[in-house]
Amino acid sequence: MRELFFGWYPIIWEEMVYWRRRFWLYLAVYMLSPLIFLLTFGYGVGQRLTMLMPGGVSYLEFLVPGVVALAVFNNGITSVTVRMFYNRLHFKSFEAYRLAPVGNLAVWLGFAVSGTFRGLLAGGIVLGLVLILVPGFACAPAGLLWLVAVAFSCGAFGVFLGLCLRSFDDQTVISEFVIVPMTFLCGTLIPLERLPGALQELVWFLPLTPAAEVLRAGFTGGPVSLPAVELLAGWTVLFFVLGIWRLNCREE
Amino acid sequence: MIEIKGLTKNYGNLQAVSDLNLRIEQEEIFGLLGPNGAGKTTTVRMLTMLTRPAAGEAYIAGHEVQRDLARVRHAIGVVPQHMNLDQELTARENLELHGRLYKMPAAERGRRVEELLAFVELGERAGELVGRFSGGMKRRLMIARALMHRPRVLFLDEPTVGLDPQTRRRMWDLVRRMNRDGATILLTTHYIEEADALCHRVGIMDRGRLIALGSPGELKERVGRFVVEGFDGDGATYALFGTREEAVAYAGRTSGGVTIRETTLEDVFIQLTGRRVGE
Ligand SMILES: Nc1ncnc2c1ncn2[C@@H]1O[C@H](COP(=O)(O)OP(=O)(O)OP(=O)(O)O)[C@@H](O)[C@H]1O
Ligand SMILES: [Mg+2]
Repeated sequence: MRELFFGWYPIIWEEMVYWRRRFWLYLAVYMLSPLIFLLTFGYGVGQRLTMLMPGGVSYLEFLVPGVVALAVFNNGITSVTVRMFYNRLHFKSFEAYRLAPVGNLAVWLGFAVSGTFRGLLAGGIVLGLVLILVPGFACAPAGLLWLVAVAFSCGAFGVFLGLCLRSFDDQTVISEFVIVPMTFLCGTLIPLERLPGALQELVWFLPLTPAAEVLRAGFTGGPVSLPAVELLAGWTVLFFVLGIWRLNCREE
Repeated sequence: MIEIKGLTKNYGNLQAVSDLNLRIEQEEIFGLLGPNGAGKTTTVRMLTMLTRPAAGEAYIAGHEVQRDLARVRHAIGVVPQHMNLDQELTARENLELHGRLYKMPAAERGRRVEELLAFVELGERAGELVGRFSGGMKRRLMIARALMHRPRVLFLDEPTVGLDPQTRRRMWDLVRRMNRDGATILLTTHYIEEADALCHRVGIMDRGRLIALGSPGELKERVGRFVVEGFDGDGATYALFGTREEAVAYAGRTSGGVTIRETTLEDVFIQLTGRRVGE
């Protein structure tokens, strides 16, 4: 236990040094795209969408948890993959962790928790924005716990992707094949019920779908569907196993 | 201190290192010398467990490298051939991070960071981001980092590549001091004079094999202490002799200008591999 803690803490410490140096930048960056989503989708298009919303909620009510989920997802994953990209392939400083008496589990945890923090920061910023901008929006306390769970899952996803990168182009592949499709398909901006036919079922194979579902239920304080939680947990475990597997394949 | 038995590594059909056997004694400075692609870095990477050998085993400070990973990692310090510092951290933060990874207690860590920054003469630049450092400064910082946790065995893969002559000499002093403080050192180099000046024993590698082993003196003895170089109209002549008298006698028999000089490790290298270093 002690071993585990001491192993991953330095990786978090390093992350916190980045935070200290660039906090204001992160703040600005993490505010920007959610703000755009809220303004364009929420206030722009959304005003006219009430009728199309399942359950008759306003589009804005629907959108807010989705934008939070997106912020956690995008930034949780990207922050880890980018850091791992530079650490492994560019600065080669990842080697320093491999040379140190730190186990794979600890390295995995260090990066996954770094991603979790970044996801939480981004998600927290959006929540803050929404509380200021959207009158009447409230977040159930349990929603925050689900936020942590989702952020951790995104961190785990990020570690696996980060360990798969071999070149700069892979970074683009991840963005185009993972981030962008999930942004639009997973019920964050557009209700699943409004997706065309078979897609409605297929998107349940994407990890962001249960994450968004869980967050949406969590924020409204309603019951969280068990299958969604199980899916989310399943994905997290899968990312963990895949990540450890990649770490075990020592880099050549 | 380091014992290598039958270490082998293949990349596809290429035998990067084949059947390497070697013993490096405690408090020795051992130099691995060889042309590009000889397998020096691969050897170091296998010994530091950054890459898995295809066959063979190695022991460092009595621990088997494959099995006793954690102990070996505490016992070794590594300066790789390429830069691997976190360029987004300052010099001090890089050392700090290393100390944390090796679980050094806070007070000792702080003391050691300052001590080593002074040791490699980076004290004044300690608060700057490493990305802005020159190549030589980064190398010095990498050495400082490798020393943080007081390793008993140091691996230096071409520690002086790309350094100016003064800095290289300072680096040699550093290596000697680390050795005096009790570290066993395995270094690789292309610079013959570096091996000559620094190493107690030298191993010459070529195409993945160790082709000669001994002190610089012994190796020179083996090929002949003296070299006569000249030019006889057709091309350069080159001959090695065991004693100065023989060399002088030979020089007397040849026409044209000749030079007699003492053998260097470079001559040993050429004799053994038929090539110059770097060819
Ligand atoms: N990751 C790798 N994949 C494939 N081949 C490799 C890899 N690393 C090294 N090699 C090959 O193994 C051989 C030995 O390489 P190595 O880096 O050990 O040489 P070296 O003696 O350190 O050379 P240099 O003096 O140039 O640093 C070379 O032929 C190299 O091409
Ligand atoms: Mg090399």
